[in-house]
Amino acid sequence: MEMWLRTWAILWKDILIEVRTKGTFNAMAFFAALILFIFSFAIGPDFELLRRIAAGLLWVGITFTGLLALARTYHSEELAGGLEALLLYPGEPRAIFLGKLIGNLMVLLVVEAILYPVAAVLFHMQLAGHVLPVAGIAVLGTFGFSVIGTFYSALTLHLRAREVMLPLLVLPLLVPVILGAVSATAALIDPSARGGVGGWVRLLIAFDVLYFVVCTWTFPVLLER
Amino acid sequence: MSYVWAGYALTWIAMAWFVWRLERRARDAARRLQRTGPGVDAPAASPR
Amino acid sequence: MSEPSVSPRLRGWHRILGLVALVTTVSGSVVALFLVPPDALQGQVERLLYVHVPAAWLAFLAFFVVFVMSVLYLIQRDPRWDMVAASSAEIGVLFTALTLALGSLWGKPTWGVWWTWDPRITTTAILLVIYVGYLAVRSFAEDPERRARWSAVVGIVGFADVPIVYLSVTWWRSLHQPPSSPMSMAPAFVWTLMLNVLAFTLVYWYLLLRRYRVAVAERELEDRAAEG
Repeated sequence: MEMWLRTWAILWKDILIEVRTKGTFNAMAFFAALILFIFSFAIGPDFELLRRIAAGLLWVGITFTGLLALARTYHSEELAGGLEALLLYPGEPRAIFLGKLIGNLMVLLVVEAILYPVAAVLFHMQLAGHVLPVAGIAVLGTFGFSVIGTFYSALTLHLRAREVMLPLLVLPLLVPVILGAVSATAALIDPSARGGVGGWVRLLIAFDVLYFVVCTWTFPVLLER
Repeated sequence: MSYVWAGYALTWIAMAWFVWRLERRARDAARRLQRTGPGVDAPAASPR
Repeated sequence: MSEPSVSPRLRGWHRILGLVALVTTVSGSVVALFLVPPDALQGQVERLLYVHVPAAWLAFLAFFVVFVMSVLYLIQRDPRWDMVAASSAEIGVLFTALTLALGSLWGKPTWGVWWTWDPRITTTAILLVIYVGYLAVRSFAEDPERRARWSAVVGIVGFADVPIVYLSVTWWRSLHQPPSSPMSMAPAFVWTLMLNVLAFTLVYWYLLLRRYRVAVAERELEDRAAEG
C-alpha cells in the first residue's frame, strides 16, 4: 500500500511540473508532427505508398519523440541533486520506477493522441471504424516502450554520452515492440495487408508483461550507491 | 570461389588481430605492474 | 596458500590450449577448403558455411556466457564474474561481426544481394548492436563497481530480448515471403562442420582465458591507482 502511495506521489509531482512548464510538452508534440512531415518530403508524393507505410512512419515518429521524452524522465531529480536525493526517503525504490513509468506512459499517450489524427490526415489512413483497436495497440506498444525506456534512462543517467547511450541501448530491445505495433496496426487498417492481428497483440502483451516484471524487479540494482 | 577465399582470409585475420591485440595489452599491463608495485608475479593488492 | 598472481603472462597449459586450438583451426580450414568436395547445389560457396556456422555458434555461446556471468555477478558481487563477462562480450562482438560478414559473403553469390533480412541474420545483427551497447556502457562508466553492475543488467536484459526478437522477426518475414528451404547437409559435410565447430570452441576458450588474465592484471592496476 505504501508503495502505491509513493508511486502516486512521484507521479503527481511530475504531472504538476509538466503542467506548469507546458513548453516542453508542446515542443515535443510539434517535433513529432514535424517528423511526419519530413517523412512525406523524404518519400515523395506517392500517396498510395505513404498510406501503405503510414503505420511504420507513425511509429518511427513516436519512437524518436519517445526518446526525447525518456531523456527527461529524471530531469527534475537531477536538478534537485540527483536520484540519490529520492533514495534518502524511506520506502520502496521500485515506487520511483513505477511512478516514472506511468508518467512517461501518460506523456507519450497524449502525444500519440495528437499524432495519430495528424498521421491519418497526412497519409490518408483509414482509421474510421478501427479507432478502439488501434488505440489499444498503441497503448500496448507505448507501454513496452515506456518500460524499457524508463528503466534504461535510470541506467544511463550517470553515464557519459548518455544522449547517445539511451537510444543505443533501448532501440535494439524495442524491435519486437515496433514490429508488433506497426504490423498489428497495418493489418487492422490496410485491407491489402496480410497477417493476424491477434498474434501480434499476444506478442506485445507477452513482451510488456515480461519486461514489466524484469525491469521492476531489477530496478533497485540501478539505484545502488 | 573468390568469396570463399575472402571469407576464410577474413576469419583468420580477425582471430589473429584479436590475439595480437591481447598480446599487446598483456605486455602493456605486465610492464605497468612491474613499475607500480611489488612485481609482475605478485598477488593481488586488494582481497578478491 | 598465497593469492594467485595477477600476472597476464601465459601459463603453461594456456600455451598448450592455444597450440591445440591453432592446430585444430588450421586442420578445419584445410579440410573445408581443399579436402571436402563442393556441394551439389550450392557449389564452392557452400564452403563458407564451414566458418559462418561455427562463428555464429561461438557468438551465441559467448553471449550466453555473458548472461550467466552477469546473473552470477548480480547475485554474488564477485568481480571475477564481471571480468569473465566483459572478456566474453569482447570475443562475442568479434565473432558476431564475423558471422555477419561471412553471411554477406555467402549471400552475395547465392541470392545476389549482400543483405537478405533473413530472420537469423537479422537477429544476429541486433545481437551485435546489443553487445556493442554493453561494451559502450563499460567504456563510459569509470567506477568499477557501477560498471560491473550496469553492464550486468544490460547483459541480462539484452540476452533475454534475443529470443523475442527472433520470434517477431521470423513472424514478420513469414508474412511477406514463403519460408526459405532449410539447409540440409550430407553426412560427410557434417564432420567437416563439427571439426570447425570444435576448432572455434577451442579458440573461444583460449581467447577467453587470455582476455580474462589481461582483465585481472588491468583490474589490479586500477586498484593500485585507486589506493595510491
